[in-house]
Amino acid sequence: MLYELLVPLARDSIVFNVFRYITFRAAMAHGDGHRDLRSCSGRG
Amino acid sequence: MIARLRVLQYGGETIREDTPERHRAKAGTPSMGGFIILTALLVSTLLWTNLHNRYVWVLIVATASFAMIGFLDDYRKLRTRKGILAKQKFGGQILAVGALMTWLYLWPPDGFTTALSIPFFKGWLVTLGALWVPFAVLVIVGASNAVNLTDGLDGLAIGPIVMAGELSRSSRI
Repeated sequence: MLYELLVPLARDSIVFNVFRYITFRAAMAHGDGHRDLRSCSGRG
Repeated sequence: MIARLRVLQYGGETIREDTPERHRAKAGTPSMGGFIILTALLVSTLLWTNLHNRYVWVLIVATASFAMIGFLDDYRKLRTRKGILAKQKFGGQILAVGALMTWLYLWPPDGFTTALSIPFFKGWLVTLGALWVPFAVLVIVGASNAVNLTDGLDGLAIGPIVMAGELSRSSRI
């Protein structure tokens, strides 16, 4: 969902181009997944 | 959440009588912990993937349907101390993946191929055609049940799941 939202913004600002990169999104998803795991298991 | 599951499950998982003494400490571990893993996997996938890619939806639906079958199994185990029958579980998995793979085969997305590459034989591709559907079902259901059989000892299942989950999420992205 963030991909759909943020990638079109690259037309206005080149900064948002980073969301096209697979490695960047994989790293962000990795962080999100860990945060979800920690908050669900009560260790956040 | 784990404490809450334990309360909801009146003490949690029972263990088999032939379990080694060393593993008896696992009695009382709440089941349905996979819900936490699934939440992390699905939320991060939905946030960061290109949802116009059909392969992403195939992976999401396959993961969610297997989780649903696992949930039903655990839920029934809590209610009646007996899970769903092996043939029901197996049949449900084959049905879910069979439907998804048939959908992929009949309405192929861009770049889809039924050619299978054989390791160590460079350039040798076997085109499976319609046989690709049962082959894909065999691989996915087989891999899922391999993890199921591995489960039971500390870390044996979660180790492969961490690696498979990371690979799966990266491939979705």
